[in-house]
Amino acid sequence: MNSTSISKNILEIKNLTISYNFSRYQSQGIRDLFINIISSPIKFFFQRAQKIDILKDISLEIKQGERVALLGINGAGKTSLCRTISGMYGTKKEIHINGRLRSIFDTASVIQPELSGRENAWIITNIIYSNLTKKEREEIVEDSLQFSDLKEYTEAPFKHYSKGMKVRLFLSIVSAKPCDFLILDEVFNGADIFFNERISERILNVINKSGAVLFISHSEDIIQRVCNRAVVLGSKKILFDGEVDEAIEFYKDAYGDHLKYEELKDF
Amino acid sequence: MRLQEQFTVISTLTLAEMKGRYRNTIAGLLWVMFNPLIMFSVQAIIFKHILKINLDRYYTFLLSGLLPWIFINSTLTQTVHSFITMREPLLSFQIHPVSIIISKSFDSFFNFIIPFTFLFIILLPQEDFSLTGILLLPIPLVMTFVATTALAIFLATLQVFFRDTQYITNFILSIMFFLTPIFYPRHLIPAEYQFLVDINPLYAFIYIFKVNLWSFSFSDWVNAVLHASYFLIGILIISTIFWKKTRNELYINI
Repeated sequence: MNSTSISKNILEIKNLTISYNFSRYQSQGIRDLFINIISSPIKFFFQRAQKIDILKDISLEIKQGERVALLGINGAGKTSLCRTISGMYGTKKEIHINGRLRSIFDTASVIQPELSGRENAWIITNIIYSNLTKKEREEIVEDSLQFSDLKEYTEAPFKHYSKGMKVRLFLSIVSAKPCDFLILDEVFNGADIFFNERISERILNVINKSGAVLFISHSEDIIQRVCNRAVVLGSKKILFDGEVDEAIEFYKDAYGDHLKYEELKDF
Repeated sequence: MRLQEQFTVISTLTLAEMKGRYRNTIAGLLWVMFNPLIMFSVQAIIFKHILKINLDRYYTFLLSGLLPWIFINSTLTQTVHSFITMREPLLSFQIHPVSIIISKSFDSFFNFIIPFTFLFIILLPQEDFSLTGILLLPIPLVMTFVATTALAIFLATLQVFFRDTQYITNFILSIMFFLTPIFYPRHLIPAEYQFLVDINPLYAFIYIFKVNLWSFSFSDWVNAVLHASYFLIGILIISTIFWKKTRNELYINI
């Protein structure tokens, strides 16, 4: 693991379990409900909620200066972990964050499709950078519009933007300022390769200036460029935590050969 | 998140909502005025001039009932599916879900306050209003806003888990419009059904407006505010408990 300026803990997770309650999912019409009540009333009224554990009893620490990649196949719990850290599933006593967190999960999101790209940039900036002054936020909007190179399209309605154009604008905004703790989930998806080159530099710059980073990507190249530590998730737990190259090796070894490890077959 | 930051997010979303709603319409923000004014005019003509309802200062009576009703109705019907329609931004970055409802509620409140003030200014020279009643108007305005927003948060959360909520809400509000003494006076309701008005939470808030503008007496006003306060506290408690119980599962279900 890289030992660059490691000092205080930015993130501390102790014995965290993430589970989903699926009982309310089942779409039951009145007819189905009636049949279920009549056919087995005891089961209907006394059945326990169906809980599925996504991650079980995991502990993780991220220190200042660490840029941690989360690896794992689809459904391993990478996004669930990041959303839980971001407080989307409520406040958890098992999670402690030192500093200000900024987390981004989708870079093609639309808030007001009828409004222009400039207006949506203003909305997104005000939400993400609500802690900054009005002047600073205005500077971010101008800088991001210029960097995204959307030219005359900045005044066009956002609903006419392609996914790539939305990603351009969004990534330009996200990468405008560093923060204490940054979570980026598959942020590079959708932009063209030429813009990816430019934005990569800008994002790497903001990542380097940020206190700590938790990064999800399926691109080995980007992970190797961005991160100095990697964590492999699988089988509801942390399977590996260490150097990036070793983690990628472990990940490929585990999943590349048709789920070689018996314990990973759960997913 | 600090209060200042919450304010920035809510004011941004409110402005975005206001701008987005009437973009590409010819009349634009004038629709804010048109809709309640047309509703008010149509009902005033039907009940005052066609059905000849015998009530003193009927225009003020209607203003104090109909416009708060339009605010409550439009806020609840427009916010009930907000968490579902705002799924994408909610899952993309950290926006507190409640701030979405509050911003929509503010948007709806502005849409209410502009025609309300406009009609009030027109009626002011023509009818006798109590100065104290006018000065005390911020109280029902704030109470109605808070109660409606809390109810909107409850319904929008419920909608995430039970998708029938929006249909039930629309259905109940359609019935409540006729069951609530908005365009007719309460004394027209038979004595055996008066309890329905007493337990009607929406009327509790609308009634304060009626006391303020139509039939002001301080003791009536205090009683009306106290009566509405019970409902307000009840709505706030239910919404808060429900929100806290379901908040952790909200993102999974939207």
